[in-house]
Amino acid sequence: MPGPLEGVRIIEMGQLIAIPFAMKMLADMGAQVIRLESVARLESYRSDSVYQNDISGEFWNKGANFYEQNRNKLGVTLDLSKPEGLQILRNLVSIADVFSENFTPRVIKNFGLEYGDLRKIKPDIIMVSSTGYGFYGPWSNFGATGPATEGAAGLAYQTGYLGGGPVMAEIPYTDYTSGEHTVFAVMAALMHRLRTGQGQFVDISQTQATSSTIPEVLMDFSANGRSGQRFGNQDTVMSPHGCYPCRGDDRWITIAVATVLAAMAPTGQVVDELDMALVQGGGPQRTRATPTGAATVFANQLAANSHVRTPVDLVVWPENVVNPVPLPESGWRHEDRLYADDAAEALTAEAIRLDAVLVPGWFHRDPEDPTANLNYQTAIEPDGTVVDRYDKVRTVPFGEYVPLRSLVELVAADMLPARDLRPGTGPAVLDTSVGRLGVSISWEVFFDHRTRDAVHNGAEVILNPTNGASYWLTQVQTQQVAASRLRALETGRWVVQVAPTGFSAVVDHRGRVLQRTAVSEQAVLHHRVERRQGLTWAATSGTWPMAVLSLLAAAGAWVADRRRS
Amino acid sequence: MTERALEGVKVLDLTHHISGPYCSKLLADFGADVLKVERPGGDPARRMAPFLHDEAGPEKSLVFAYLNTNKQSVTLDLKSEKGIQILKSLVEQSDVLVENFAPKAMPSFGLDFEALQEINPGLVMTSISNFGQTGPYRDYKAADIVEYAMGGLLYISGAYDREPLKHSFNQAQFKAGTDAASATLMAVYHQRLTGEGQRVDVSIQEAVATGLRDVVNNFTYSGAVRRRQPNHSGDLSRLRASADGHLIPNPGIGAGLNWNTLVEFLDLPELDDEKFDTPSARLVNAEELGRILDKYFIKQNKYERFYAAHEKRFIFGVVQSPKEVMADPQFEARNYFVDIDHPELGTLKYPGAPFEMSSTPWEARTAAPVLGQHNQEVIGARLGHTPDQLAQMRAMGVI
Repeated sequence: MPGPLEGVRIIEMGQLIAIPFAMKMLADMGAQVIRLESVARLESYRSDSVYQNDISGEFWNKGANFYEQNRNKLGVTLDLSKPEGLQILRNLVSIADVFSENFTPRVIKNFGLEYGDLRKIKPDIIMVSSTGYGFYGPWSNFGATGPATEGAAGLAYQTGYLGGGPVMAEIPYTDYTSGEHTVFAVMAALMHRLRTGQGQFVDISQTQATSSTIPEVLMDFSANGRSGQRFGNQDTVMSPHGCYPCRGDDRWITIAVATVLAAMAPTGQVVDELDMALVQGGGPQRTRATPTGAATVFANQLAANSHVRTPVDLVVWPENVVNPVPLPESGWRHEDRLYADDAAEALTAEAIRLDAVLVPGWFHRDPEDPTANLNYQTAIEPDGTVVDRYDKVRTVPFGEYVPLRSLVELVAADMLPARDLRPGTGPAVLDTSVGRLGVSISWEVFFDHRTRDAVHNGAEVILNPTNGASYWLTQVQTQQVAASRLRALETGRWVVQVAPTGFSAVVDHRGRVLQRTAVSEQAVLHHRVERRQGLTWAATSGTWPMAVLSLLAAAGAWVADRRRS
Repeated sequence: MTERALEGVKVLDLTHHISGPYCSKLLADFGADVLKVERPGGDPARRMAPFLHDEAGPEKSLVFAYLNTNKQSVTLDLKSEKGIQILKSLVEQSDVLVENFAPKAMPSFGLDFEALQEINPGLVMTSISNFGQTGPYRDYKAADIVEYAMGGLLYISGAYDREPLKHSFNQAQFKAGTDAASATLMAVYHQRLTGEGQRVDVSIQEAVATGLRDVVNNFTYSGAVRRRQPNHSGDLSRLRASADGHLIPNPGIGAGLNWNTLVEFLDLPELDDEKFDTPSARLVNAEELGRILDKYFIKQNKYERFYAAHEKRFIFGVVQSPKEVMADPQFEARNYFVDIDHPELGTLKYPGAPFEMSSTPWEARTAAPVLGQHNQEVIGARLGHTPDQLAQMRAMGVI
């Protein structure tokens, strides 16, 4: 059965992939493709993947890739440096419908093979040139490889593991993308010629063709000024979405879960952006005031803070890294202890130095009630004034307070905190000159009502200062990140998590982890974070729809079970 | 009026999401008349992020706006009898029908190819689906990452010792959309010559598998399984960090490379050493070479090195951020980004011509249609329904 392109004759002066691949597609559909090769210069694709790697004898006739890509074509060798060679090429053009090539314009001009030249030989010829950056323009004569155009087009910038650099495809990917567009272009030109009898010049920029396939990021930049992020295999809507290991060596499965409602759910809108720095003081796990020493913890934080890059709007410190003790009555200060006035002075100086709002986490005995502790974050303005304070509302049972203390003390007195934490009662926000910041301190992030409280009080971003330094391994820290992601998805706000020995993380409003530290390292995460407004369904309705659905599901299962028995 | 390559090609577009709309966008942008038929609730892509200022709304999706330029929109419920009747009269007036439903959907509407051919024997019916219209996987659902995996591209992408890594966003859908547009035109070309229509069956999985370079060939030739490659730090074609981002300081094809010229260009006399001056020596001393190059490029400005390299005909590349792409002087000289005015989105810059045609240029005639914008014009005026009938259809949810 003849292919649809039976009767179309194409002269191909192609090399490597972009044009030969496209012409293969046309040849497969019935076009007669006459491929030209130089007698002087071996097409390097001929020596690619040679059969059994045996390069003895006529290896150029054993290249797997060459043969796969040039099937269904006729092959002709020519020496275009000789006038007779060029004349044969012109004769071929005079009986052709399409002439295609992928050399730089400089080469084509040198041979006198531009569209204007060919039209004189064959008035209705269609000429197709495929170049890295296009046939005209300041970069037109720049040679290019697939990776170069993948970089120029904006595709590589978007692709990479979380927290890593850009990653390229291991094949010249854009050769194929542009090749696919080349096939379409030839067909469009052939359709036009069929109707009007006229040929034309088709100018394929491999970069342009590729940029045309990433509107998600280019339109987002165009409309919202947002530059993309690299976040591994995560998706903007689907979750889980990724490539997961299976049993065996290098065996993987991809999983993508789409929720019908997810695409319809409102996620609020951006009102502004903040340049944020999350400061992780570092040190081995269990580096904390007891037993390591409050002065060491604080010094670690200050040391990390010296790496904060300016300009920056907001600098966030973890929970419980400023642990002052009461001033000694003797007046002698211990070097390994931290005193409130010293700490406040140092923090003020840092806020002024960085010209940023600084949010440190304090933990100490309540000066007005020696039987209670306090755990809070303050907000220090760039001029050094403390403008707001949030005291942790939801405290950790047995970690920060002991329920039924008199009973429990009888059996486990040594393992209990000596004093209960005095919980706060205020809204979960800090009011600062860089906006209203929601706060969920550590354990609080496991409770949806805390972040909902923040959002209903106008929070545009959520801070999750946490500690976790007393844990070993990383289960709890991993749960913290997961909880931050959940809260981000629920509230449509970015959540930033800061911990002294990890994990610190930046999570966007769709729950994607954009950056994360490792445990124990001293690190500063810099990120431009969106301030967002608007209410999501979860923020509006809370947990009752889920509770009702769960009850219905349980009831349904019960009914189904009864019917079966 | 500019001449259009696909003038007179009438496309009935039943597609949604990305692959199908990109196919019909290519056709529309080069002059075909594309009538997009949406379910009364609209193409789900209308609810796809990103949105202008992140405000979700049926006319606010930026990807939808990009994918549906130059099209008309009517709404139609294909589960209603009246809807099917209207669709069939539209089929009579079309050269092409494109759809990307699950393979079982069109037959369930009574709109399988055989039925459509009875209405219009010259019809080209293009179907895009995850795994094709036949075969054991035909009814499987898939996301882009699944197509990457099943098409064979995922396994060779990413770091040697990590999980395979997919290109961001929806490359598999765009590949299939482009292939579908080409295949559709091949069939229309054939139809113009012979009057015969035919069925075009595009599998997204196959579209991915078509561009794998040596993966299949190496296996069939030698049984070798191509895996993600270990990172050779001395590999000259590798991407490297610069002071301001990343670049691909690839000097050129191996055989043609003159090492001394490169050493001189980089002004790195330590590379003027027999440890590095042949390809095999560079392979042996790859680690050391990689360290020297990394140390050097991290202090460089990527564009400065890029331009300087091309003066010497080294084919360096740059990794551009979205911002840099949109400020790219080459794109600017070629007017790649174009302003399109949309009633709800205002005037925005869109990626424009994927390639240039000298006589029949790419053009943005109209912005993406709002939902059902052409119901009156097409279902009303063209098919002869009165305003009352339209109102009734609207009330019944047919349009």
